[in-house]
Amino acid sequence: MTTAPLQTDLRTQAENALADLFVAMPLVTGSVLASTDGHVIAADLDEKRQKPTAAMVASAFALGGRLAELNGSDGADELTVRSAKGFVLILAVGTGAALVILAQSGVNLGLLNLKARQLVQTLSELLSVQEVPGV
Amino acid sequence: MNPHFDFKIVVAGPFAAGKTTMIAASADGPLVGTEAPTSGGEAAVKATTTVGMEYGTLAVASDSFSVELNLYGVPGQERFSFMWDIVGVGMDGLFLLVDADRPETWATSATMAAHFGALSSTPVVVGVNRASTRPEVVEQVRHAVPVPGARYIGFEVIDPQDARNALLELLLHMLEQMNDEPAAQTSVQVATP
Repeated sequence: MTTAPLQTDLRTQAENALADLFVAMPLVTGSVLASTDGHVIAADLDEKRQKPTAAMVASAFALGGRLAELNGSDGADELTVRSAKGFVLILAVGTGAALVILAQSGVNLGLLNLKARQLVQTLSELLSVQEVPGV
Repeated sequence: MNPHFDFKIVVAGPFAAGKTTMIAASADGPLVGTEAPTSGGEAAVKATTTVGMEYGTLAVASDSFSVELNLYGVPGQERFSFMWDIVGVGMDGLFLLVDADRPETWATSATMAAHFGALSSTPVVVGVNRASTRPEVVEQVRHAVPVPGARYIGFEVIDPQDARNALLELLLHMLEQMNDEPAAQTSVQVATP
């Protein structure tokens, strides 16, 4: 599928969904929905960090997919980067996009994982409206 | 037993220059790749693009030594320039691809050469794709994409023999710099043609 830029109303809906997570989880500091080739589809993050974040997510997600092949899987469903200051979660959204969520350490990881999966579901449905069959 | 060397070669160049094709054509086995479907304007140029890196190997033998070339491809788009820095660590040679038929991308090739040149002063070969029979285009590229100390060759990335010979040219360039003398007498060939 291609992930051409979302129509404005769909982008707004996606960004509303990202903002809902931001509101629900105080230690979440931002999120970006990126195409697997590294473009911003929707974002809840400062403007200047959006593009580099989307590109890094695409690279990491592609490498994660190759790592998953070590286990015989076809691609990655999610990646987690845990560091001194927090977490970076990357989750597949359909086949052409990935969601990255930035959270500070101390975040309730169980709740975040639950809400992240709900968000992925919402975003996949929004993206599927845009899918072009056979492309 | 002959000494064995392992070298890291980075294959760089603008979007759609032919980096993945070249590595696939020259490597001994299947690649580790990170292709993703293109979107937006890039989708009009080609269907998929490298977003992380590629990796493949090419075994090379001579009378006196054997070499494994570890080939690393990087994404061509500026938005992935952080991968240039990551993959460029520890490289022994840089192969810079230029597309003879898209002069509008030559400035980007020059930018990439400067980026990698700032990382490391390794030997460079500038390979001009689709120019094996057009030395005049290679000369134009020599002026448009000036890289100090680099060698310039015209070749075809899709031809495995051509692609391997281009990499052997870089290997010879690297060996000369190591020995600080011409390696004209050194004869190298791919171990498994």
